[in-house]
Amino acid sequence: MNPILKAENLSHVYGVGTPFEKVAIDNINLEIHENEFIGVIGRTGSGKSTLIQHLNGILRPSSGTLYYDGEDCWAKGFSRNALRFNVGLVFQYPEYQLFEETVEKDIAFGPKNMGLTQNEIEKRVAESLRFVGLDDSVRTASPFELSGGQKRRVAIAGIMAMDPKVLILDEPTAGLDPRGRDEILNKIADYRVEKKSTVILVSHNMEDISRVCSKVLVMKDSRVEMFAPVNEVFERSAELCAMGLNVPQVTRIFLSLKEKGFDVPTSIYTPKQACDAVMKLMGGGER
Amino acid sequence: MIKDITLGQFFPGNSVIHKLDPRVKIILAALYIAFLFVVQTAVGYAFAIAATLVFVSLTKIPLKMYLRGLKPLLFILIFTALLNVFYSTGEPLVEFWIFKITADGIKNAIFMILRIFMLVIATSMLTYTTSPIVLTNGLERLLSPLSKIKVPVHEFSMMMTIALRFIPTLLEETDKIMNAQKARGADFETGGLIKRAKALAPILIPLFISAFRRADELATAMECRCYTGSSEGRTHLVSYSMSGRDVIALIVVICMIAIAVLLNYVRFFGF
Repeated sequence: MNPILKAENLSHVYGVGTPFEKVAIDNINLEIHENEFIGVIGRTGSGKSTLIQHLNGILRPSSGTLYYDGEDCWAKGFSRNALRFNVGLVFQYPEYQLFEETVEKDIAFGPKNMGLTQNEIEKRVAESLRFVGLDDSVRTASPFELSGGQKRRVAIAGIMAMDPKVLILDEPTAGLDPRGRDEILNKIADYRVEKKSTVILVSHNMEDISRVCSKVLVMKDSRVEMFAPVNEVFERSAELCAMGLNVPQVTRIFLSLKEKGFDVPTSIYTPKQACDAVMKLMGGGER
Repeated sequence: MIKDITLGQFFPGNSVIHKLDPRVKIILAALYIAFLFVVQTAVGYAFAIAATLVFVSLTKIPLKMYLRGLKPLLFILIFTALLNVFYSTGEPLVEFWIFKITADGIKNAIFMILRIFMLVIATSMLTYTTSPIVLTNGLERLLSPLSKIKVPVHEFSMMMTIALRFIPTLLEETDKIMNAQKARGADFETGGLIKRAKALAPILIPLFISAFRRADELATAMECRCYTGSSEGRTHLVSYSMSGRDVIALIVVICMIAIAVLLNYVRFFGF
């Protein structure tokens, strides 16, 4: 199967020719296939945000090529606007981009720019409100009257309403309380299943990523350090820790158990796996 | 892109010019501008160009950076040059229709361009080598005698510091909001005047909201640190004192003005 997004030797340098010149991403090679759920992790400044802003053509690579569905995105005649409708990007703190008088108008901004009919726009707005779990009663409210969490949902709905093939979210749960975080994450996971779309999720929260993602991309110092299925990445937990990244709490417990001399696997990242491993250890051990 | 605006940008460094007292630097910039207006002759301009280049090299910031600040002025430069070429009195060199080009006109045009070039370089030099905070500090100190006649110098300088401090922040924010709206298919580049003005709403509204939010947060933060303005005899973290370096710089620029005045009497072939 052909990858839906492919990066080839992608590099980006900020502020070329000034004293502030900085390589943000360096020679990235990447293939993203349809229906994958990818978690992106890395420390602040590792190039995560720069990378995802290339994927929908907001940033132009300093060198290298980005392919969408096999087509060079910066070739002459390629419509970057169409690319942005196909690869929806939800920026960090997206609630700061709300501007319309009502929630429904704001969500309709994207679909309107796509040139859809009024009927279709109406349908998309209703659908995306449902995806983010907002009540129909907020439709005519001003987005500025809503709570922080609700604003965030409206902003995410604004991208979902474009019905993108790939949905990218840059830390969609930053600054939310644990419950709000879980809710949004579940909504995104449900959306992906229903729409059969590809989702890329940038997050600092390992629990989040281990819970919903199928593959993990680890960025370090502007480069891709790992890109593999979740279990394979968490098998290398010790390396993640050394990079200054967090690993899920259960993984940490098993790492220290191992250190203390217990014979346990360290690739555990869900409570269920942890339970099984402990049971096995208890059953096999002496009482 | 929006980030490429260089006018008013600070380039950290450790050169002789960077280390000058900000008060002296502001006076020097003013004197230097006066110097550029004293210069009238070809010899004088040669001297001014040489002096400017020496100062540029002293800052250790590449000349390219200074020239980049000139790009937005290109249109004005060409426009003034053309006006000077066509609207000068004197014996015409070439004449067609209602236009006549005189030797005087060409001379004036060249001098005008050189003068604007050097004016921009001189003012850029001040902002390139002085951080905005230090600059307003220097300005506050220079103007502090005015507070005797009830001019709120401190408040003005605080406002200016805050404004300067938030320019890069707001630029960055504008960039972010623009990108976010572009991701939703917003189009800022095509269409007629009205369509383009309308297209600005998705940028301006969020930008204003966030500017007000920031102002509010900043005011609270300042009050939390008991800021009450200049009333209670505030002191400063840094106090400036003039060093030998500053005195030398002042003497050099004053001498330059004197030389420029003298050079006005030296002419080559009437220029």
